[in-house]
Amino acid sequence: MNQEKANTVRSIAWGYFFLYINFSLNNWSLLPGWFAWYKFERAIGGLKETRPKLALLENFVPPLLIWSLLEWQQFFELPGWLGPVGVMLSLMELYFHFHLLTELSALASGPLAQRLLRCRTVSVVMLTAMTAIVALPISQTAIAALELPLLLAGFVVCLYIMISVFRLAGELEGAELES
Amino acid sequence: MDIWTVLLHGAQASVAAGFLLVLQRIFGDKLSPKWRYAIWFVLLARLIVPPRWGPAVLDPAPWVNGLRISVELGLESHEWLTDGLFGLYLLGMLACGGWLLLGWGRLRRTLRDAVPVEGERRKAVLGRAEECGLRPPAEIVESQQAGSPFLMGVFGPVLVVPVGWQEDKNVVLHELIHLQNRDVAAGWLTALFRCLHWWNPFLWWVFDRIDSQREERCDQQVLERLEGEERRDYGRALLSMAEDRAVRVPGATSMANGGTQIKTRIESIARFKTFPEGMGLVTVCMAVILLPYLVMGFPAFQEPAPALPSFVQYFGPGWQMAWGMSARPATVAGALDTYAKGVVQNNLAWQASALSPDEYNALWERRNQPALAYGTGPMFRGVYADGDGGYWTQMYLFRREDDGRIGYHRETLSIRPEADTWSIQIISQADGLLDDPLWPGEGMDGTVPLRRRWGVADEYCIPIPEKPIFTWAGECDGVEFEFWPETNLLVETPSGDSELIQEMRLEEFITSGYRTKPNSAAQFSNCKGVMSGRLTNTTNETKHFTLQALQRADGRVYHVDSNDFFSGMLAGAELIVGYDLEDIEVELAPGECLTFRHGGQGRGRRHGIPFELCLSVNKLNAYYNDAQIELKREVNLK
Repeated sequence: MNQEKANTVRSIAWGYFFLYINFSLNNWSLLPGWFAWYKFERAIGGLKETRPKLALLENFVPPLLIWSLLEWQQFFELPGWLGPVGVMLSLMELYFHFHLLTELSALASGPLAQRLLRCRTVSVVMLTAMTAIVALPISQTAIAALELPLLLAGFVVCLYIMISVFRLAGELEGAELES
Repeated sequence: MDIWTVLLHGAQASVAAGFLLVLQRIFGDKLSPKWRYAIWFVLLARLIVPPRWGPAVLDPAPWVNGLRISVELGLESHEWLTDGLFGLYLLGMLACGGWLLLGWGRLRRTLRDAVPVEGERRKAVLGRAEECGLRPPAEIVESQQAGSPFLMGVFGPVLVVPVGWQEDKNVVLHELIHLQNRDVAAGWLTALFRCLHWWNPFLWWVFDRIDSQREERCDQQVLERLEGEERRDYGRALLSMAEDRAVRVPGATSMANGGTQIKTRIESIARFKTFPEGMGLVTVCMAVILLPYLVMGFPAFQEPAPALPSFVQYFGPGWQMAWGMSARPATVAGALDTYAKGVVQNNLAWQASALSPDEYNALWERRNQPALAYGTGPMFRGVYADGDGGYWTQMYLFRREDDGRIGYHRETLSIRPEADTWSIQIISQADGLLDDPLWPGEGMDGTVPLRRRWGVADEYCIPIPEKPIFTWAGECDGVEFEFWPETNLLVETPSGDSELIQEMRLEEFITSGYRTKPNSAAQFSNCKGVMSGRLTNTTNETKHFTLQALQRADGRVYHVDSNDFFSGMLAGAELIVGYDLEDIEVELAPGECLTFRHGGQGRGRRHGIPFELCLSVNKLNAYYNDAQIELKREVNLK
């Protein structure tokens, strides 16, 4: 049972890997974000029995996956009039990560659970700052200047989340072996 | 403050409320009633902040503006209507306020016969408050007029219960939580906004919903403190109030808020669950994200800016202008392109998009005039910094005259920054004919004597007889100098008569093809320059001298025979073939006047050419020497 959980959690970690890491070859993204949402969707299905509240996220995955697919390779550039939809999707993404990391922390024990909760809080705050900053009535240069440190800090947080989720998968696997 | 501001404020608040309703719908059961209610504080911010007229997505401003322009510019005297409507609005606001205060006063009056609750029942209420760590009411009274318990008063809150009412500790808890949350004050606040927006039924419906969600939040907070059977008891108590008359006055909160609302709340109780810790953080973060968007609007422009939608032309002139005003150009070239194409095609939306509000009356006056007969262009002659953050330029549109010559329509324009956008003011207009036909090319190898350079320059700049906006003049040793350096710039996509464009060698400017629709984020694509001048010997002797005219900008002197000039002046410059005059030997007979034009071409993108001219005569080994002439710059805006 724990092995199954471990595999599912690992696929969430890979989802975060696809979401946060981007390698492009000739403008062709090799680690597309939509694949992350696909992984999350599968993982939620797998963990739903253990963590029923994850079912709350099911409705959010399809729109986020479609949006990510449209943005992939810039097939689709967000037109100005779709701005409100983009904001709504940002809110959905915010809630998604918050809830997913909360549920993952419930699967963990000890310091790792605390670490996942910290990751959750920091990532939600950073995502908020990144989204709100764009709407501020300041010049593009000022926005870019504010975004740069946020992006750098955000990258560190993303790596931390990814590693923590991989570690959770390892912890669950270890528990299975022990039992 | 006028009727339009009232309309716009109501409309923008309605859009914000609509967005929040959609958000609540999408998030459904993912947010607890407490945080579902809290999200309405974003609407509160929208209601407090004055309306904005700026461009934004999902913004009713163009529609309200269209109505305003149609009325204000369409009626010779509109004050009687707009002032009258505003007066009506104020009357309605007073009437609504009066009506709500009347209800509150009536409720207060019915409490005159109320008597304080003493003894066990009072002790039970106070004990419940203490047990739950909640603030007790200042007073507890019982009244024959009260159908169910309710709380009233902001500063000295009074709990009013029906006469003989047997204490139900859950109902008491509900009212104590209202007291703790200061919901009576919140009720007054929504009542205030009801008065301000009395004319807007949608907002009234939203305020009803907010009031109802305030009760749902309170239910949630009560249920969080109860266990098992107690929760069912609470549901039963609520159900028993379904038939009770709702107390719906601003200064009171009541658990009984009408049968329909109670049905919703019972359903909400049936779905009751605890939400993960930290939901407050998510809700606050969501509110932080939403605040700038719903208060200041969703940014209207992405790069490149979209052209105005074509359907706008089917609306009346007022609406067309209003739509234009809501989509301001993002660059100087974009403003000029939008305005020029608006002039050529007689498109009011495009003209209004680029013009300054000071020009709207004049634009409205010429709304029924036919389009200009000049259809080729636009070309801009010099985009000079005006020294105050803006630019001056001369816009040219061309046409082929019946006699084969080329006619032009010229407008001298001032382009001023407005936040992140640009707007245009028309300074003067004129029509005319170009000078002689263009001269076939001669080389720019520096070997051509100054006198013969006249005409060679016309390969580079169109021979317009009038002087451009700036001229420089000075005098040295009896020789009068006058210079008027000019540049011709085009945006990426001019339109019009392609034969004429080719003949005038304007096609060299074009980088993105011909396009009749403007691009409000356009750039200048190319620059051609000519140094024109006139030298007059006012003495009785022949003058020999070496002339050197250079351009100076940002404290630097640019050598225009290299990339240096345009790399300094244009972003992403490729090449310039000079137009300075360097070491030119000049001989002027007594009284002789020599006029010349000397041209060059640069490729790149920029907003304006804020250069100064400096001149030296009889240069020794340095560009600046004792014989350097201080030139005075003159502005020709006519």
